[in-house]
Amino acid sequence: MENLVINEIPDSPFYPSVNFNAETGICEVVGESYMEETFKFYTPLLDWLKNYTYNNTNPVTFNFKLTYFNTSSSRLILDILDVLREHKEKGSDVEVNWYFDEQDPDMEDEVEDFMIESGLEINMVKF
Amino acid sequence: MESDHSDQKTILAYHGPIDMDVLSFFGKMIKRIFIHGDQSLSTRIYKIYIELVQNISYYSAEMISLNGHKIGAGAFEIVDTGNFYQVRTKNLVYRADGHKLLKNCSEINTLNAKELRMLKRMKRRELVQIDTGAHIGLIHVGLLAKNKLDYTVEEMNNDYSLFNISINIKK
Repeated sequence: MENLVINEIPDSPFYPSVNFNAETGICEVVGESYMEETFKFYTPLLDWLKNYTYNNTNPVTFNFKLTYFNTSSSRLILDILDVLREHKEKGSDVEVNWYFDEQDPDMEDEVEDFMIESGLEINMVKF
Repeated sequence: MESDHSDQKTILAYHGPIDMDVLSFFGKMIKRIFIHGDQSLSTRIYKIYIELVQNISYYSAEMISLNGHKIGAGAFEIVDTGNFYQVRTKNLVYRADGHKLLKNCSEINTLNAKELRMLKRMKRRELVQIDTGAHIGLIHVGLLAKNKLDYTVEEMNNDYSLFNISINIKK
């Protein structure tokens, strides 16, 4: 299976960079997320994750390093977390880390809400 | 919205079409303007700005053609009122949407933070592909600012209303 890599676009800071590694199972989404067509951007990410986790118990470490995401993006982030939870429920090793600036206390509430909604434990890591 | 504007200082203002380039350009400006101040406050203003102004882009009934694309148009301001920073937006909406906005904003203002978070979680699960989440965006704005939404919907004619919204963010 191929890696999924989307590089940061300097003129389009509303797209995060994406790096999903099929060998290590380490997946990262970095930057800001407030593009217009959220479903169009996130669908390939979801498809990749579903393929990667299909019918196996491959370990996944998912690192969110998003400094901002709009409410449309948050719906798709929840979809990602749902895929990860389902994978974990199969007995797979799944770790989700959310990196956030300690100058952004609102992000803690957001991540708590994601945990409540997805039923998945998320490690909050201050940077 | 009625207020005495005499002690207010406009930090940023724009009126026109709002595409992603405009949105991100002014977003960067906001980060630069507030770079030396309280970073938590600056981040909050930035987030509220994006949510409110992106709603203009998506939902304004005034659409302008730009390079073959239809783009929502409206106005926004960020104002220093002394005790608060205020983010204000204004745009045309269809009358039916104006009624929905009145209902949604009114509901948001009746809820406390815990209730708003519950409502946001519930609404988020209901979001589908065609819906970009204006209602949730306003809930999120209320949560971030920890203040009530100040809003009006003025009926302009049989088809359109003017939607004004502002939110105070305590310094």
